[in-house]
Amino acid sequence: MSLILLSNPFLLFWERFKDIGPVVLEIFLIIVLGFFLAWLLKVLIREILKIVKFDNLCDRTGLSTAMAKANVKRPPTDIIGLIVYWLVIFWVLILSLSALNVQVVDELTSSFLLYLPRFFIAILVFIFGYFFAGFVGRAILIALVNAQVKSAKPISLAVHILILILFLTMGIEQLGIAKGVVIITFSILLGGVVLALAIAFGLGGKDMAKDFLEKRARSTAEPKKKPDEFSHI
Amino acid sequence: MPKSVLSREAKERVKDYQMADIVVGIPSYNNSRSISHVVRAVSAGLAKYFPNYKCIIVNSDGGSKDGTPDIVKNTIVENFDAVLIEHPIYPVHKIVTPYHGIPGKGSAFRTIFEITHLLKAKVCAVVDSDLRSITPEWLEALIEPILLHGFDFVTPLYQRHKYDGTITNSIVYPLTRALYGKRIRQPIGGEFGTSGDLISHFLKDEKVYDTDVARFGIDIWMTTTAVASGCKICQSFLGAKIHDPKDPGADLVSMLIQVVGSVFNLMERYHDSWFMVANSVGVPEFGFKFEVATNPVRVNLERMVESFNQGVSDLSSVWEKFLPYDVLSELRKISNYNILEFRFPKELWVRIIYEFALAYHKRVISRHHILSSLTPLYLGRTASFVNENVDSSPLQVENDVEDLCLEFEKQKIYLLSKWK
Repeated sequence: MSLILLSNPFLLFWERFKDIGPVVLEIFLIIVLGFFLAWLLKVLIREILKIVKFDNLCDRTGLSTAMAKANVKRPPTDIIGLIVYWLVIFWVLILSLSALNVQVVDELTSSFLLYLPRFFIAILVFIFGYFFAGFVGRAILIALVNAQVKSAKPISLAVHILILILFLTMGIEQLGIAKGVVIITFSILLGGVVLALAIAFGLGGKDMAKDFLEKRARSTAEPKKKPDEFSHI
Repeated sequence: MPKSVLSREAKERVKDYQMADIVVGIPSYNNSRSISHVVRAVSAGLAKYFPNYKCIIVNSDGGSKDGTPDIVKNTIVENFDAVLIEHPIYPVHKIVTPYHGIPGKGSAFRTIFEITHLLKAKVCAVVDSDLRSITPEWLEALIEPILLHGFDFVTPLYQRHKYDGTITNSIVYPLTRALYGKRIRQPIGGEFGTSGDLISHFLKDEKVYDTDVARFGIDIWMTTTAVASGCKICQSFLGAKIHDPKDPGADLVSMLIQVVGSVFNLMERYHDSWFMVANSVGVPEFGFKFEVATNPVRVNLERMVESFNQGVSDLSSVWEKFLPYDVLSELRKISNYNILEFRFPKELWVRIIYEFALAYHKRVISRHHILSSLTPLYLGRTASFVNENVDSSPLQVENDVEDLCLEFEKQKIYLLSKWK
């Protein structure tokens, strides 16, 4: 009798374990395989990036310099490999939780999976915006210096920052973070800058504008200052 | 035969003439003021020096709005009794055609080359349409070395104003001489003579006509291709080069990008041809050299030095991506000079050109950005050249250019050590 009484909890535990045992095993397997998959992907991506000389590309485009400024000392191929590794681990953990068949976890998993593409698009928008802003800013700076425009540096810097803000806004909007607030902030900022510039030029440059118009009017009557006469070729 | 770029009308004209011995090309764009003189000089030269050859003048026009093609068509080949010893067997014919492709000198040349190839001509000479100083003797100088002496490529030798041709004098001549070891004084002269075989070779590579070779890069591409292909090259003295006045500052940036970009591109393509070259040698010269007076020219030193100073102040963030620290600090130092004392040492200039070539090769940043950021430095070096040679005679200026060439040759070892 006492033996039966003693074995009851064990039987109860066994009954429960029979129900959840396969699930635990499933979770364990998913995690083990997931870690292996994450490691494999990390190595594979790192090797592919080394073959296509991704580090050199980052050196040329200035990304390595930007990373060095941010005190990131690992090479870009390692960083990309690590990002992929931890993304896969995160995904595996969520997947393993979904094996529990709990509704809340299932909903969380599906919403995370739906959010992933937006996250990647936002990252791409940020990266593209960073390079595009740098490229356009530099092109404008060189063109203005070659045209001997005195305020070449501030103009190109303003264009650089505006493009960065534009792409930052696009990326944040893609992530769905405070959508309305970001767009409104950007609009206010851009509108404010344009208005400030208009007022500054209007008030500050009133005399300059007058001089400019007078000079233009005069130049129609007077001959132009002659350029160099030698041929460069 | 590569894909044709000729208009139907031009093809028909070529079919009518069937063959020619000599083709003289005149590329043009809005040259109504000078082209009549050029056509008459060419016609006289052909009639006087090549009366027994079948000659055709080809005008390849870039869509002139001032009636240039009509002037070429209507320019009557006058009675040359005064200059002729014997009367030509064949009349000089003309083909006037627009060219197709990217607007530019190189595309105009491509049309001339194709007509030369189709007519199976032995020689093709090309002369600019804005020349004021061209004489019938130029045709003899450009054609005879090919027709009678077996040369493949004839480049011009001119008497020019000491400030003229600064891209040639400060970059293209010294650099190509140091690289390929041939002392071709005017590698981008604008006038040249080419054998029919070399023309066929020029036409083989269709893709280059989609690059800057279609524009101002054509001259250096032809010269370098001829050198790298082992062609027999010579130079002919033509006398003074005087052309129609134009604002050279108007398209300096694009001109510099196209010419220097072509030189740098060719360095990659013909790497095997220049890597082992240590010294330079002269090329055979034709013609009797004589001193000619050249027109005085106006130079705006202030504008050049201002451009240089602004470049040093504003473009350092761009240059620091590929110019070493010592070069940048040297540039900052010279930007403090006043206009009349402004000097840009040739050692520094040569180092900069090699650093730009290396940056272009390694694609440190956008190649277009590298090339376009060279303009303020070029203007600085030009201003220094003007300052250094205010009172110099043509011979002294030539010696100065020679010193620069030797510096390019001396520092080539640095380029070789960094080129991977």
